Amino acid sequence: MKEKIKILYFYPELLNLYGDRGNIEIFYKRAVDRGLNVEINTIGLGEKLNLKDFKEADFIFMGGGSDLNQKTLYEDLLKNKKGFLIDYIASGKTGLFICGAYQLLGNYYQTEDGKKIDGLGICNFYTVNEGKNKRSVGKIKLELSNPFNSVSTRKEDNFLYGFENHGGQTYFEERIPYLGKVIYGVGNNPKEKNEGMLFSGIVGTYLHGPVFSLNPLFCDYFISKSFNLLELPKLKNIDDSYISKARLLLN
Amino acid sequence: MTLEDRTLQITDPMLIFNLFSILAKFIYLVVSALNLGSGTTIISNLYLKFFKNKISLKNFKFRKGVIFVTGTNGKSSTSKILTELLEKTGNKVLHNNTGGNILRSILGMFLISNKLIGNNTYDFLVLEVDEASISSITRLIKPSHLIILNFSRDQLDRYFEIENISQDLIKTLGNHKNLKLIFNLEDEYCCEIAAQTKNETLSFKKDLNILSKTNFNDSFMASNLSAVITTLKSLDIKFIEYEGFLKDLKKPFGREEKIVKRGKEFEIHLAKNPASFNSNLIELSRKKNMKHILFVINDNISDGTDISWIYDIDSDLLQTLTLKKKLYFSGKRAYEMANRIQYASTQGKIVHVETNLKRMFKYLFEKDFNEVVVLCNYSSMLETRKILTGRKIL
Repeated sequence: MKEKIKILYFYPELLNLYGDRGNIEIFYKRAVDRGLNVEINTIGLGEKLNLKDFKEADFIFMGGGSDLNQKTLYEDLLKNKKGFLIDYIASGKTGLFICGAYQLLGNYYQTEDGKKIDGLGICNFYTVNEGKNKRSVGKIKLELSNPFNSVSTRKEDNFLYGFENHGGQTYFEERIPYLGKVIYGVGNNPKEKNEGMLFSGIVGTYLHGPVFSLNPLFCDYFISKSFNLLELPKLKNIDDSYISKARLLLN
Repeated sequence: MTLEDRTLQITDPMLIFNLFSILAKFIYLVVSALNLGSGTTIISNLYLKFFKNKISLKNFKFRKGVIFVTGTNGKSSTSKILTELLEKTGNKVLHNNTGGNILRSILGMFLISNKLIGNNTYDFLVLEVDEASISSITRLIKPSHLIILNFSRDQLDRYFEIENISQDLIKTLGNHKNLKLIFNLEDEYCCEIAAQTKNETLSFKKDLNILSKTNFNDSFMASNLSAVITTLKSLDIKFIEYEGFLKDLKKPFGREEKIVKRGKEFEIHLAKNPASFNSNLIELSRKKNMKHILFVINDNISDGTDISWIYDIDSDLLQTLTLKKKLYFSGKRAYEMANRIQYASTQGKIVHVETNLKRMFKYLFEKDFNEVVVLCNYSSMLETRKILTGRKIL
């Protein structure tokens, strides 16, 4: 077990739509409430990441942003962070990439007017914006393809709830395990009824909400993985019964 | 009159408008008598469905100007204040004062206010307009002035991204060359829109000193007032003509509104997106002896069905405000709001969570405390007022 972990939180200023920052707050509070130590480092535009950052990081997080910001980010990632991200992901360390961040792990993003923006090419998929009318917006529920919490045997814990709001549809060019099967909502694309992806130690997903708020066990999975803990200490002040009731109402 | 003439008349836009107007007025009377709200939505929807291209507002005349007010926050307050000051300075004004700011509600307002005999002549039309409905409403009536207040994250399930709204506005401005743009110099998006248009522009900036002449004390209102003053100045109305009336101005319903029921005072604060929530939290932090706070969060279409925005509310402000307070949660997404508070603060006590607002009020009425501050988003504010006043606004 690690005494203390370090989160690298990418572009908090630019990727601040859809409440995704809540995930960091929730991760932090759920860890600290259990007596665990967490340090949060924010990573901005122009910052070059190196081997030291790679060694020290235990969880990386990148949220969703507007299409306009996306292009600036792609350029910065390719220039300053690509090597770091390739090494980090190859090492099997854990991280969460949401919406726009998820998309840029792929080969490219094709805008509505047909322009292709290069992605990091770490995962073999691409994303196409098929126009405003095809945007996927609404509540979404998934059944996890690989239950994260081996501790829980409750069926209800195998579902993820969230809100999706994406213009891009993601198509895989090779078999990569998906995060979950879509119960309602759209997910990666309207054709395949699956959502997100599991790749090495990281997860890519379209789920906002923020995703950790509606799915505390999903958050705990990342906490235990980044601390290298099989069983987490009990929560002291946070009462998950509220969110359990909220989840029932989303069925 | 030949038969042919008569059939021609039925396709006459004015006649259609008047027929729908009669229908709307009738429904309005019946529905108001039964206390069910204004009820004109159905008529407007029918009108839009079958005669969308035949809507004529020709029997409405606005001699001095048609002013649209838009932005994420402050539309209702700004348009209400502008209307009142225009009236105080001797103008006759038509204004959508119920807060209905999308195409069908604005059409409904015209149908209801239409005088069937004679002209509908006013000096001004002041409309608060939903930021995503500008282009559809400009097709109904051409504005002479457009006031843009601020743009921040709100209802992304409907607008997708803030940038979409600014693009639409730039397009609308391009289509109306004579439209004068009055914009907030302190808002990034407003400045961007102003920079990208060839229309005549005027800018405003908040002046906190003005607050001393009013009953308001928040910086949002200072900004809204500057918008109004800049607009009035551009209409050649002098400050001295209305300065004396500033003291009497009040915010619209549901904004810091106090309603007493069963001996308890409920202070209602509309907090519908992160920016307005934060501004309410700052204002409330000055309030003394506040002990009980009720949060009401719905996710109806008018609120936005995505409530992830509650995590964009400033956690430090939430923590400060809820410190040692007793907290109550209601509305369709009550449990999620209670959960959100846990992550901002462990110092406030979550006393009761009940999604059904009527039952929540029943619970509160039975308690022995007398003051409750209510923070609610849009539809939950209307619902709260309905329970407390017995009347529905929209």
